[in-house]
Amino acid sequence: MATKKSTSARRHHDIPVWEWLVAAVGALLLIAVVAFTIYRIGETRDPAAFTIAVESVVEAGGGYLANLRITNTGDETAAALTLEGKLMQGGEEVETSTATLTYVPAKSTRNAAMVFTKDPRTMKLEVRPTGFEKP
Amino acid sequence: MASNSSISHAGHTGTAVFVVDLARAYGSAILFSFPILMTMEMWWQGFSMSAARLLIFTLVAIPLLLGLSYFDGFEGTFTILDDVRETLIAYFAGFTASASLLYLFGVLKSEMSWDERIGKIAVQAVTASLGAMFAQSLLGGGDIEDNSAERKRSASYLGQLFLTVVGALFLSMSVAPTEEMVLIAFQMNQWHTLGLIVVTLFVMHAFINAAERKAEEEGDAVETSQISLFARYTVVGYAVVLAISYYALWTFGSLEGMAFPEQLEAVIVLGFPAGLGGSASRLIL
Repeated sequence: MATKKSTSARRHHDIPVWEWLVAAVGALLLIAVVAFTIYRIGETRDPAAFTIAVESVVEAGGGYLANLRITNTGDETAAALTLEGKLMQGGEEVETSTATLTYVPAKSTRNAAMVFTKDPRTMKLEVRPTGFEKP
Repeated sequence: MASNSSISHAGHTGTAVFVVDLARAYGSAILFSFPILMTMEMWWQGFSMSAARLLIFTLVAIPLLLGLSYFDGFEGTFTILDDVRETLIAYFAGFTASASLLYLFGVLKSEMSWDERIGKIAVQAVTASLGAMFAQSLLGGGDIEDNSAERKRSASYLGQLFLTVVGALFLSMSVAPTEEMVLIAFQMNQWHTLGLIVVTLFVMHAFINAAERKAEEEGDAVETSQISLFARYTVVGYAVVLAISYYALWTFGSLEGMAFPEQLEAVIVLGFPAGLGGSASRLIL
């Protein structure tokens, strides 16, 4: 009986302002998520396209590591993206390496690295995407 | 004792009670959603799930949360306004708990787009907010006795089906996004499939029977025969469970590009955990 009383007392006096505040923030979050998702439904979607930047080259394990930064500027996600990197010297191909990225989501950036036996800093490094899966 | 003091110092303990309730809601949200917070297929949903499916998924959560609040929730509720407030607080707890844990797990990174980050959190927030709602029934409401226990015991047939939907959706959510659902379906032949249907029905009936006997003991239900129980609850429950399984697999895009027989097989595979959740919900929640 005491418990019954306490809850009815709580009902009339005890809803603290904090509780309403948290509920209000919850309402805002919910409305924001719904609004943002509705906005995304209407978007026109460009196919996946990539910009690839060579961030740095470091020596590692007796070879050279070219650190890459891949940005998908399109609106569609690419899965299993393969990259091919060629070391060029005087118009001639010296060495080729590849890298695979599990996912590069729309409008997002991912990091990858390619391993070379020769120093990419002394040559021209050309990296291009060769293909991906549409998830 | 705590209940007595809450009458005498109403203003102070109101806040104190709320802090305890909120903490318990967080604990419950994390306890029930950590498996999918730590599942990579679920992270990928953040960018692979279409906006339309995410929208439906989020909107589906609202009536489920409201209904759960009516039957349970993390604090005592008396009016619809109480249920709405509790629903919003549960969503708040689910969303923020998911966001913080995904951040701590290194899933959310600064180089990701807002589309991806919000998608990743929003898809987890649904399950986590349902988890937050389970707080009172599973982590113990202690001295807060509201109308929910009575509501649950006397829940109508539709009320029972509602609890089946919630339980089925909740348990299927934790496995539906994984590749194993489709893989298991591929591994099974038609005899395995039939066997799994029988096992699912059997386990479901065991849970439903236990809940019914408990209700009878408490004088909330008239005695019913096994056959009546099987026809009215187990079979109907299984149909509901299969529909929920299909919805969950569709939401996570697991059925994409599959022929109907394979889709059905995956639905039956997911129907197993969904059936467990759906039939046990009345007993547990």
